[in-house]
Amino acid sequence: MNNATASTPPSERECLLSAQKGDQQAFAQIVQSYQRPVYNLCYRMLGNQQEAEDATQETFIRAYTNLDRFNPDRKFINWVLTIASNHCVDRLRKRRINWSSLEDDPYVEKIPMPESIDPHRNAERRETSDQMQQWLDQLSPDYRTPVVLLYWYGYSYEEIAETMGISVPAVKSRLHRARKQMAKLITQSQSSRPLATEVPIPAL
Amino acid sequence: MNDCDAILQRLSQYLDNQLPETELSALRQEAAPRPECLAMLDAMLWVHRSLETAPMVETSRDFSVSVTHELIWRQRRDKIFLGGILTLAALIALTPLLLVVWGGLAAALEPGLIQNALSWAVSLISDAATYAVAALTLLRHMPQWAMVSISTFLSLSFLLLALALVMQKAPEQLMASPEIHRQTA
Repeated sequence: MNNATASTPPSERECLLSAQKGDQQAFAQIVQSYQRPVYNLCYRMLGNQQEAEDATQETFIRAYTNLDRFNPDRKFINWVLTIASNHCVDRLRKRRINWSSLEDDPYVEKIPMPESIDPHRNAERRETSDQMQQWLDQLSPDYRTPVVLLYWYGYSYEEIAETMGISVPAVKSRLHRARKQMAKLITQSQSSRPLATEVPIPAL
Repeated sequence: MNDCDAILQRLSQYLDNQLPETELSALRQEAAPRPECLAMLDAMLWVHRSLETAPMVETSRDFSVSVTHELIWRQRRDKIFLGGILTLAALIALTPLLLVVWGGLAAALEPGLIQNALSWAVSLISDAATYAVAALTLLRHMPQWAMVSISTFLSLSFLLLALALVMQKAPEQLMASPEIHRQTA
């Protein structure tokens, strides 16, 4: 798990201070250091390579233009991932898809089941991450963000809550609903076949 | 919340390391009598494990170059936009002052200039009306080829006039008017 209270390392702090003074070369070094996690978050949130690249670039530009607001007592990665996740949520909402809200019944019951999310077929031709991406794409932005932050970045509940601006119980609730929705997608795609014999179960 | 929902809720707590290791076997035993619930439980476990092992997505693109270029471009764009806004604001702010200065200068240099300009405009409108009536009378008796020729000539003239007006400033135009010069002489 990341430590949200940890401060920025000294070398990085120097780069950030230079960047805050307008040194774009220093900021370019920062971009190089963090482009991978930021791109991964954007891709996991948006599910589209081109859009993820655009979102990554926009995230760093927003970070640069708001650099004077960055608190060096925080980790820069946490700050920039917050910008990225907020930007991706905005993009997802602009797509004008009728996502389910927290209070709604499970969203998965309302959407048609794509052929491609059958895990039996996908297991042969796609990697696990691709399958996960397809199921992630079915989730609303509010559910997707905590899943990405928890599983790919090892964020604690508190960090997710801080990033999303919600309470810790709300984070737990969204994570549970997200897992449940994804599980429902899987069981629906299984139709009559029982899943218990197909999925690897964690050691008891 | 039904029993299966409660089981799945506890499973989520287990996955978040909030329950002891032995909880999973207890949950499976509770769900065992209901195949649908057991399937959901196993699917949630599968989702959790798959998410835990899903790798970071890689990109070959170096964003440092594109971000730097974009930043430079946006800074230039912002400067141009700001410069345009400032110029426009300055012009708007200066317009009353310029009008006052021009009016004062005109009154000092040519005491009857404004009155002359107004009378010139009135006479121009009056002349135009006279010419229009005459032209209409002529048109009634004019052959078609002549009408086409005049129409073409007038259109071209108006176009040239419009072009000339666009190229010139209004005060200069007034001062350059032969009617003004004739009346103020």
